[in-house]
Amino acid sequence: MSASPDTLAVLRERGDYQGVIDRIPYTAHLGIGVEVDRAGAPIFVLPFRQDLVGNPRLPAIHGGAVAALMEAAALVVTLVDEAQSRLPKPIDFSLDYLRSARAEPLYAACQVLRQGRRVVAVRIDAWQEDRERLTASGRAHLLLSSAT
Amino acid sequence: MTDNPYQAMAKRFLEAIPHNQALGIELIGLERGRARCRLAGKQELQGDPERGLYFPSVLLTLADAASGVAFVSALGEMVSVATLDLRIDYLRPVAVADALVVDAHCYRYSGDVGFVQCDVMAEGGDVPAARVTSSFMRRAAHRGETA
Repeated sequence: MSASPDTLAVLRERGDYQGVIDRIPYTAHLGIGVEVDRAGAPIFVLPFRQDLVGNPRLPAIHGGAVAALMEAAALVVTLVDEAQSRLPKPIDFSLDYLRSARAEPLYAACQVLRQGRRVVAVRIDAWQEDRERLTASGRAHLLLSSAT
Repeated sequence: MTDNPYQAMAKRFLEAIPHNQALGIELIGLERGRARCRLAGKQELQGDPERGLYFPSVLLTLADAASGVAFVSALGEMVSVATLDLRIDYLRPVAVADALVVDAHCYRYSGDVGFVQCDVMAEGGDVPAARVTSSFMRRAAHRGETA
C-alpha cells in the first residue's frame, strides 16, 4: 500500500473536482471549495478572506482573485470532464467585470461552449448571493494535451 | 526607485492593498500613464507543481494591478478605479523560479474611461509571457465616502 496521494488520473476518474483543486498549490492556497448544484454540476466557491481584498474602501475582492476562481473552474472542469492527464494549457481568457465582488463567498460555474479535438471553448460565470446577478462573466480557450 | 513623491505615494497605495500584499506585488517604476510592477515567485503560486509553473491567473492579477495604477497615473489624481474588462493571451508559461515583471501603458484615456495594454515577462527575459488588454473606469464617489 502506497501512502502517496491519489494521482490526478485517479481523482479524474472519480470525478473528484475538490481533490484536483487541492492538488494545485495556488487553488489550494486560495481555499477554493467545490459544491454541486441541483443539476449535479460542480460549483466552485471562493470563501471570503481579508487577504483577497483589492479595494479596502468598498471593500471588494481583487479582480485577480475573481479571475483566479473562474480560471480554476474552467481548468479543473476541463481536466476532469475531458480526461486530461494534466491541467489544460490556457490559450486566452477574457472577462467582463459586471459588479464589484463584496466581502462574501464568490461562486463560479462553467459551461463548455465548444469541444474540439485540440481546443475547448468555455464560458465561466461568477456570482455571489444571486446566480442571476453576475459578478463577472468570462470566456476562455484551453488547449488539450495531444494524448488521446 | 522612488524618485518622485507621486511614485512613493502610488507605491504605498498599491502595496497596501491586501491581495497585492499577499501575492508580494510591488511597484518598481512609474511615469505618467506607465507603471512597472514585480512579483517574486513562491511555491504557493504554482499551477503545475510538476513543472514548477505559475498558475495562469497570477499573471492576470499582476497585470490588473499594474494596469489600474497606469490608468490612475494617466488621470493624474488619486482616484478609485474599476476594471471593466480584461483579456489575457497566455503566450508562454513561466516557472515560479523566475520573478514576473509587467509594464503597463495606459495609451488612451478620455473622461472617465481608460485603455491599457501590458506585457508580462519573466524577469530578465526579453519575450512576453502574456499580453493583456483592459479597459477601466473611474469609480463614482460613494455617498459618505470622504476621499
